[in-house]
Amino acid sequence: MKNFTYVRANSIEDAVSRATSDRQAMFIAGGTNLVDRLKVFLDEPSQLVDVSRLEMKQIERTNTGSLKIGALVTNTALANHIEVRRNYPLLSRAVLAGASQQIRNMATVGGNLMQRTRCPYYYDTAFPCNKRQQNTGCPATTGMNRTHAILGASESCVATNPSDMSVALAAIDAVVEVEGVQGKREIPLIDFHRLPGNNPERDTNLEPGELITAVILPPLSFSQSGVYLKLRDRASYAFALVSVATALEVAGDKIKTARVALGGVAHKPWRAMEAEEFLIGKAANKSNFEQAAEIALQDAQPLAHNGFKVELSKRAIRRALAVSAQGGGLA
Amino acid sequence: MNQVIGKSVNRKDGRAKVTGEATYGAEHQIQGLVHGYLVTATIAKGSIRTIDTQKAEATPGVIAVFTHKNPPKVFKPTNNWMTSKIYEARLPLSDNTIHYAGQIVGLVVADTFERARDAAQQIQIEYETQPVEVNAQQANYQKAKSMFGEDMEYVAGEFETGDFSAVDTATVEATYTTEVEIHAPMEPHALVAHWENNDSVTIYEPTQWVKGSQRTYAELVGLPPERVRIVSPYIGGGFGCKAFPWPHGILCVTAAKEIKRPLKVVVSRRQMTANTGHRSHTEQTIRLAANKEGKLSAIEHTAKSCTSPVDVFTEPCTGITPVMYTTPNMKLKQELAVLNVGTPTFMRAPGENPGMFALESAMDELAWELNIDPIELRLRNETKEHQRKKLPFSAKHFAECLTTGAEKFGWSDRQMQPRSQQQGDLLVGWGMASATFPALRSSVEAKVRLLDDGTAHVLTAGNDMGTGAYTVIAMTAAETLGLPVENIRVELGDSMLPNGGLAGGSQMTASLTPAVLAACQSVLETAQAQNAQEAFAKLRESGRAAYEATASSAPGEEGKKFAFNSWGAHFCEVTVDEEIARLRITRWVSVMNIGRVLNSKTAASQIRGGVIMGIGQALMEECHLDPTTGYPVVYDLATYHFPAHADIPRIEVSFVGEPDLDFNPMGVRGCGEIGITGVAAAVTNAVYHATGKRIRSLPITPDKLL
Amino acid sequence: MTEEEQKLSPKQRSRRNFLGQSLFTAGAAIAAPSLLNSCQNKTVSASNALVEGETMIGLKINGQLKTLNIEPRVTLLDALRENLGLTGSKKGCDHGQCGACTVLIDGQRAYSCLTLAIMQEGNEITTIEGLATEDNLHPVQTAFLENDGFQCGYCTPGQICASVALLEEVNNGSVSYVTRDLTNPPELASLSESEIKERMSGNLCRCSAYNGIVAAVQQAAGQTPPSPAASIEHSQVG
Repeated sequence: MKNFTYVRANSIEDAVSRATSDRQAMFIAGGTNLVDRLKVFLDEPSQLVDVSRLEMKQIERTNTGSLKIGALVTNTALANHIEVRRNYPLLSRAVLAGASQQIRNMATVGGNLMQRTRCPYYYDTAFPCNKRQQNTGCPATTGMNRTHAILGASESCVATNPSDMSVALAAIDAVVEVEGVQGKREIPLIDFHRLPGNNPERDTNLEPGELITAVILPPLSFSQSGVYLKLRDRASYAFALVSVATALEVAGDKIKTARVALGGVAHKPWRAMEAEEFLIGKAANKSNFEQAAEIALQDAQPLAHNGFKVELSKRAIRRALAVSAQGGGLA
Repeated sequence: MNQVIGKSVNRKDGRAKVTGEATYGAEHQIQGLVHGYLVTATIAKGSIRTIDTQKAEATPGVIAVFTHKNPPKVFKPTNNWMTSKIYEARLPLSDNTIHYAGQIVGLVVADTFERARDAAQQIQIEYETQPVEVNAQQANYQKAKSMFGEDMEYVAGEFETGDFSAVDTATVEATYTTEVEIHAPMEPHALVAHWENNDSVTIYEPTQWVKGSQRTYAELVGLPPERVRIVSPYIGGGFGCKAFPWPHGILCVTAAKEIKRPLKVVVSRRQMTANTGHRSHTEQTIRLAANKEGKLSAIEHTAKSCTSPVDVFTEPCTGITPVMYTTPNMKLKQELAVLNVGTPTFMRAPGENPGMFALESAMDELAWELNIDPIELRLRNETKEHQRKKLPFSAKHFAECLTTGAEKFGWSDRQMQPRSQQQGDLLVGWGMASATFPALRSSVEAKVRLLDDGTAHVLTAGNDMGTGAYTVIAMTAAETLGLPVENIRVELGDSMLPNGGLAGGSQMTASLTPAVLAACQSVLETAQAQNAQEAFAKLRESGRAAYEATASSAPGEEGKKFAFNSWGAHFCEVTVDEEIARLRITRWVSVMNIGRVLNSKTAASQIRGGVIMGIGQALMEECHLDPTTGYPVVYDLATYHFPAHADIPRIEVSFVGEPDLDFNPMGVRGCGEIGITGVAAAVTNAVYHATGKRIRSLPITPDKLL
Repeated sequence: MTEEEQKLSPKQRSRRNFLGQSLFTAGAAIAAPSLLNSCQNKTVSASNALVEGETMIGLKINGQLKTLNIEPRVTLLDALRENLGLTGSKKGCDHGQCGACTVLIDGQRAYSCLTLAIMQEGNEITTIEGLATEDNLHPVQTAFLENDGFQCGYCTPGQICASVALLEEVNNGSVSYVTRDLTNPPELASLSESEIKERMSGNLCRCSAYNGIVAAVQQAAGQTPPSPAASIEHSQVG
């Protein structure tokens, strides 16, 4: 860990102003990912701006019926909040699927959105990595890539986004509220994270100096059908090989709305829009779920060691949709 | 005997461990301590062309930087197992050659940990790289070299003519592989070296072999052993990787002398993955031939493993084969290849573990082929003698392990067909496998003191890495002296104490408790007392402070009459959610025959620990190296998965059989390793029963179940 | 926010959020006394000043205020172990991947290796050294001892701190990934093994004393765990 100067931000404006005037500054809140990265020299900030004591710790219902989650709400507080458990069970379940109780107690909602890939090549400076330093190469494309992306990757980066929470947020159509020196703006969650393209060093569409202040959950009438299914190498305390968030609105015997998002497969939480569209107006049955899964993975481009993720993703989608069709719950 | 022995007794070291008072190697607080951070190679083969330490040296707080250009003075040890042993024959920083990724190429010393780590990152190294050999499948295997003078090939019966031609109804021929596994003890490798006056050193390091470590470091620093003190009261897990000095330890001790400051070196979790040992990848081919009653006529077992360019370690998988099942024709072969990897070493049941995975899988395959219950198949082929040593086994109760386990598990309800048992949407499978591990012991000493305060002290340079040694030593003394366990104080893990042997090969209990027994008897003789109370009375009368006696215990002629092994059987239930490739282990029964059970609580924990490490091997444990650079890409506890709470069911442990008094006066054979043997096979056998799918390559990650 | 809530410190409010609206249950009977008044008497020294190089910070550990001179990059774990001599909190992986460094921060379990010491000024930190009183072990420590919930002992302080927090979390109505109905959290008396195991999975144990740890949690939760001992089937006389 390089040394850095440390300061506690007085206010959101103070934090934003510090990070805007010093491009080498970084925000820290829970620290569960950043401290880890600092220790292995992935980030070498000049200054850490501690935002953890700012007022962004509330969960409030807005007058439009949305639920506004302060960026500093811990993962634990989010997952356990009664409104989240009642109305966004797939979000609660996704957050609980991630990491461990200790990390969820420390980690914030804003920080969870900002966590970076666990690609082992990115995570060790012994390897070159386009994400760490542009145009140095991506050894994962030809190396061990069992855990890497099958969708939306590029030649320059095949890393995956590790967040569980973000997958559920993608399915919910959440919106990220951010604040910079220019003021506040809102970014739909599915546009918040980026695909790598030729700029894998950028994970998100945040502008320099911008701070996440809240995440807004729009009302979801069919929330009870929400499912979050996470498949991994260990039963708990492991990143997803593949995860799926689903929800279904069924009217009569036809699907009115479907939500399908995948984790562990791409550089961002992956919303399977075409699969969702396919399901609209169809019966909630096995064969339609199978077709939806095929559609969701039709553009998959597996690497040498992660071909299994294509099939595993399809099966996870089928299962999660089937559980959603039964009314949701533990998959 | 049996007032205390065999009961369920809380750990003597328990209070220290649950309160945080137990102090591990790098935790000893020493005035003026400075911190070392290792610099490790990022290539796997080649050499260092240039190494620039200027920037690091200029970093605030940096005290010294050591590289191959200025290595601290070290003496070459005899490294012959008897007097000294280091894990890796090449001494650290001895030249600029790189043999494997993660090899130590430098050590930075600074006043704080943070500053040492920061400076280490600033060392600039240019390498000449050469193509690496890290692929075990494509390696060049040769006949394995012997490690202890043993023959790595063995042929009996028809195989002497090279003819595998027994006329049989059934044959199984299959190849089984296991992946590279790491010990991953919770306590990282770490030590503090504290020199005084340049001619004596105290080394606070977790070590499974206190006296061996003392002799080895003494040779390395050119001092007589009595000038080197090893302090190792607690070890945060070892499993074979903390028995001898590794390069980082040698570097720490020798560097500390040069800088004239107490020095702490903690190997980071990532560095540990590459340079403090592992279990090699193995590939084993087994051929079995049997008649239609399941009577084996031939076993052929070929095992391949890999070693590093800087030392030889063969994973001796074929050692179990002559022990398990009787057959007139047997052929065993071990092969070894050199890869650009760190040196593999002993890891819980080295050889026995992968060996039993292969053999017990093949036996299960044979049972299915013959449509014979796998327990029955094993009973029909049990051997009463060690087929290579031609000696009968002592106190063997393998058959009871099988039958008792079957009864406890409810095996008779098993459907004799794959995919025949279901629980809702889940497939349910039942599997079993045998377990074995040799019973070993060595020559050790213990000292016992009876004090006038009514307590007894037992002192020996053994150690307790979680095995329960503190407790079983206290129980042995309590039993022999007629005192409550609470009145016994046990001191271990200090080279000032009498030789306590090696915590390895499951031998510490079997070695030490007979010595403790003898020392207790001897101290009572010295006091001319029947029991401790009488001795205490005499102390009070005479005004003497203490009675003291030292006794040793060593193996004798019994090894010429008997072969000694422990035995066991595992039974497990798995559920498989086939659509989403989700495998869970839901039930486990292990029945073991280990001679006398000293502490039914800690012995059960030893077996459970072995079983769970075996479950890890079966389900998830594997290291990967980058194929081009040979650098690890599974390098920490997030990438190297071993079981978490959620993976593990309740494990029911039972013991059968009587004390093995032919083996030693306590009748105890030890149980640190047997628990892991056969576990992976029990799991894959259950997976076959559940799904009809035979997994021959561990671990059974979800991709293998699709 | 209600007026009453505005009077609370941010930490107290976030605690309320955690509890949710209708879930407040009686305080934990098993938690260490120091955990019960965790949110009071905050002292924050280097407040909002730019810190460069070593600086004096104050940490409230096991009820005592400790001052130390450290760089801002020093983690809470290293501050405890290297600066304060509190080596009960263990460094297993140093990356939040094993749980051996678990401590309680304002009563909630946290990995001390993943937070900077300077960020914890004013918070109440409880380590393994702060659980027992002079005379008595904490009931969770006793339960670990009796159920053989450890072998080498290195993960044990973290497992124990995690268990202490777990009991309070369940008392507070928290849910886990395996809670079937998220609106109906389990209670201590009926907390299942799978709930305990999921909630403890952030603490690895390579010796694999997992059965004993689960039994210890069961005992501390007021349940009757199975015996940790093996059954001995044959005469061992000899």
